[in-house]
Amino acid sequence: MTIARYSWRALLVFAASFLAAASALPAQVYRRVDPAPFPHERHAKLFPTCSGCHDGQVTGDPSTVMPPASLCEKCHDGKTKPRVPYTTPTPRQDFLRFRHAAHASEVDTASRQCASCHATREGAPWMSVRRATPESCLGCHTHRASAHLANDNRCTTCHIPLAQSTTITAGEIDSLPKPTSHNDARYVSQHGGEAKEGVERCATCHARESCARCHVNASTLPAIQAMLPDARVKSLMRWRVASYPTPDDHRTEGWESAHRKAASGATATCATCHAQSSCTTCHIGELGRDVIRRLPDGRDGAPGVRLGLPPTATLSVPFATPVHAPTRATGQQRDAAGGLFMNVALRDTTPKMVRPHPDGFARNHAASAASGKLTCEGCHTQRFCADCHAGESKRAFHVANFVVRHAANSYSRDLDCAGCHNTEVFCRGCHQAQGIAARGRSGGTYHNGQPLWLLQHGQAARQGLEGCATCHAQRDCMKCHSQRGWGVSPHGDDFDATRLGARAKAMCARCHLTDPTRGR
Amino acid sequence: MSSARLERSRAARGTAMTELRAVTRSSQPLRTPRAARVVGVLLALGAVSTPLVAQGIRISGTTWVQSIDLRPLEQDSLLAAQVAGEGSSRRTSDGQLVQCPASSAWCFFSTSGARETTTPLLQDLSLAAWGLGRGVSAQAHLRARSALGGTAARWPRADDHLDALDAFVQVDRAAGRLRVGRQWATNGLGAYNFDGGALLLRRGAHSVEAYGGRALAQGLNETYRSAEIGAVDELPPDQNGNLVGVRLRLRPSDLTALSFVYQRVIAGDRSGLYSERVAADATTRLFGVVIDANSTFDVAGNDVNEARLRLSRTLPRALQLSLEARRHRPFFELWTIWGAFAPVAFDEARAELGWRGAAARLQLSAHGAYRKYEDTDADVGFLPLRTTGWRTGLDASWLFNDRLVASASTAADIGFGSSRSDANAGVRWRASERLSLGGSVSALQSIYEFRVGTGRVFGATADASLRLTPETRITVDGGLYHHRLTNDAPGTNWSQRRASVRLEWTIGSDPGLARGRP
Repeated sequence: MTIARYSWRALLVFAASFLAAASALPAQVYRRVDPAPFPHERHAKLFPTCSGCHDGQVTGDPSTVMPPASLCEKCHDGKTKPRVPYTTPTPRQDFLRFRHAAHASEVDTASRQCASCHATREGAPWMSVRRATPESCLGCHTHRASAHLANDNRCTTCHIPLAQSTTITAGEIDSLPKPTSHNDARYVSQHGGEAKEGVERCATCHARESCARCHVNASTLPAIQAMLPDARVKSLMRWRVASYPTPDDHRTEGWESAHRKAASGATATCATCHAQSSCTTCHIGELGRDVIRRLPDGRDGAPGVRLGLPPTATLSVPFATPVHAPTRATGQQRDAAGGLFMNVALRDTTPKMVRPHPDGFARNHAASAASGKLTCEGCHTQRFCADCHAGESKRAFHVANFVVRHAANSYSRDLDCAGCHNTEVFCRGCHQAQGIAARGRSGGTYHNGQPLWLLQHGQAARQGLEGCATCHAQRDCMKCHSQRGWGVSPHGDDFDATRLGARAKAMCARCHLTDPTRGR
Repeated sequence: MSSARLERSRAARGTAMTELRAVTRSSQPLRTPRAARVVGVLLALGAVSTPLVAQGIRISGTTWVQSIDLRPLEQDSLLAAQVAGEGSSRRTSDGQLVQCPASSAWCFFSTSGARETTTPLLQDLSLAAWGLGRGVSAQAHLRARSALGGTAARWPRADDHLDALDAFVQVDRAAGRLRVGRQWATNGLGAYNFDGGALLLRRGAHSVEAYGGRALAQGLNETYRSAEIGAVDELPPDQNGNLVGVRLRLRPSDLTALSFVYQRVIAGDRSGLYSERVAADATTRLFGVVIDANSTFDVAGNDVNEARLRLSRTLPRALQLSLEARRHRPFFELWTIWGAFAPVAFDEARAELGWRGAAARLQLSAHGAYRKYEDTDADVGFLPLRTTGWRTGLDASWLFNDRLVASASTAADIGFGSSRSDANAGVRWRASERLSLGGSVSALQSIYEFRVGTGRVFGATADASLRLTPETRITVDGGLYHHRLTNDAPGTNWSQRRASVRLEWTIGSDPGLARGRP
């Protein structure tokens, strides 16, 4: 059988095979949208060649690739045969690099027939055809991949870049089959190397917008810029969630305060998911500025990887109200390998909650701040410290109306009040203003719960002297505890007068008429 | 110092105090030190001229007006003959506890006076200018206080009209930093501000800093001879102080950091010291345990003021455990006599356990601590006071959704001088990105300083915060607190009404990397 003799029939079989095979293929992209497939097998005795109907596949003439409806009407005229609904099929989409015209000579010289690709099986009856499958190509082409969607396949041999296809629709793009490698849960976090080496392969199914869905630094990555933009992909990505694998080190304890080295050494990696706004959620100062500047700019930052500070206690007054709310928990999931992923809608601006400092940090930050483990000034101005340590302008530390309940805290010293408040002025000044402080009175009436307070006050004073000093001035005590008064010594057994006197003799002189350290 | 000199000093001090008290505080001139004012003027000039040469200037302000309505405590008396009973401690017919000194024909008692309202105003202004040269920047934090009405004297420092908390210029390079002006020295000893200079030298992650200048009293931001101290104590320091210090920071590894500070405040005439202190701080992580340690030492008194060791570890099932051992003994500067009164330390053990649910929506934590005081050698056997204390607390926070968060807590603190138990609950609703609403209720029972006739306080607050622009926010809040006396005894009434309006704003350039955090 020569191609000239059977070309029209073979081509008809070839075309029909696309229709027949559609349901067997996994992806919608292979399915034609024609209303009804042509029943090739029922016409097997009628057409001796493929090219009789599909001559254009060999000649390259698009007008004769598919037969016109008038050809059917020669028999299906309503008299000889009943009329059938038939419209000329739409041209095949151009997603494939394959061209029949280019293969025509090979078919001829290799003595292969259209049925080589389009027969439903080996030895199938004439015109028992289907659409050619990708494996048909792989059988001849030299790289001989193991399977169509296998990782060792070269997509570009048969496919043009997706963005160059003018006929493939967004719906078809959405249904493109996924290579097997993409099913690996770790692929999303490891695809970088593959993409750099063969971005053309990626471009078979992806456009620039596919990458920009997650890569906030897409505009700076050569591999992504090498891909073409595509409006259809863009429309698909608009509502597609971004998928961010959470790196293992991000889940280590204290990562928020220990990521300096990683961020400095691999800033480009950070930029995959994070924009400057991720960092500036906490870094509002100088710390890390040079590194942060290497990240993508933009106020919105990475979709789905926006960070926010956690809400503060509601029992305090509202000035520490966070701008952001915590992220939705439903976006997180674990893959089979135990990796943590966060899938977040592109337009979900809900930030992920970060805790730059552990719980209770306000109470326990002394060692971290003083030792220099945390570079406080990197994120905070001195005003931030002063808001509490010179704490009149911001009521963020104590609960509302702390003044009513602060007496117990003052005595128990859970916190060192003097770290922020001057006991003499702040406490005593207020106590005097409110009429609580003694202000020169003796035999006071304040400690009315202790009838023999005079006998008890020594123990109370030594256990809570700071509390005493919030009301009592020095002269109150000197009335008894000085040589100008009753001369009652307030010193303890281990009092080192020489040591103290060497540093502050004026203090001794407040109570002593003569130098108590003389002769010691 | 000779005895004669001391006497002259005391006489002079007494004269000064007499004169000082004769002058009303409000009539005194602004007490902003000259140096701070000079720096402030320079910064103000810089603010005008800076846009021409600098990359930016940023000014933020906080205006806060409060209204507090309360009944201050007053002393009252009645004839001893009108009070039945004998002895110095008696009760009147209506239950009022009174003190009747044997040498007086009167009995005395404290009671709440008439209701008064005070309306303090506080204005903070922060300025930052940068880009004045490589690493050159300037910063200032100014504070003004006043009272819009009511009884101004009821609010502390309402007549202290202007303060500069800091105002400095700095050059910050990789090798080090030089800072000149009013600034903070923040280290293991706390936060001190002073007028002077600080030079920080860096070598890798290690650094050494030397600083010095005219000292300001800690927590006061005023010089030692300021009228603030004189107003509350008849024996204020007669010399200003000069502060010198050196701080060494070492970073042996990413997980380990150490800091040592030596600092002293020297009396202006160099006759003595106001303080001489050392602090050591360290933090590291070993076998997954975060170890924080800090201590402060009073060289003059040869006492450890604070020693704290805290171990924290994350446990399975999202649990976090912290254990802490602490020793605390109060520190007093040497211009007061308090340090010679042999205050004793207490040792405390504390444990905290926290838990976070999925995505941290539900958080629970509990803590408990027990402390024991050293022997005072001043107790009276038949009138013992507690020598131990304990505290415990539970906290819970629940994020209903992205916009609604609720929290509750309860705590008890039992000690020798004052005890308290309380319960609090609050809710916050973020109605939009701009509007936040909150409310809380609280109940507490407190036993004040060796008093009877105290009681329970029930309170409720509400607040609203509205972001007018990205850089402007206004917040209003109000609260009612009702004090119910116990023991059927009249006494102090701490019922209060509070309200405040707060406006926060920022103008000027964005520093370039941040929208900033409110």
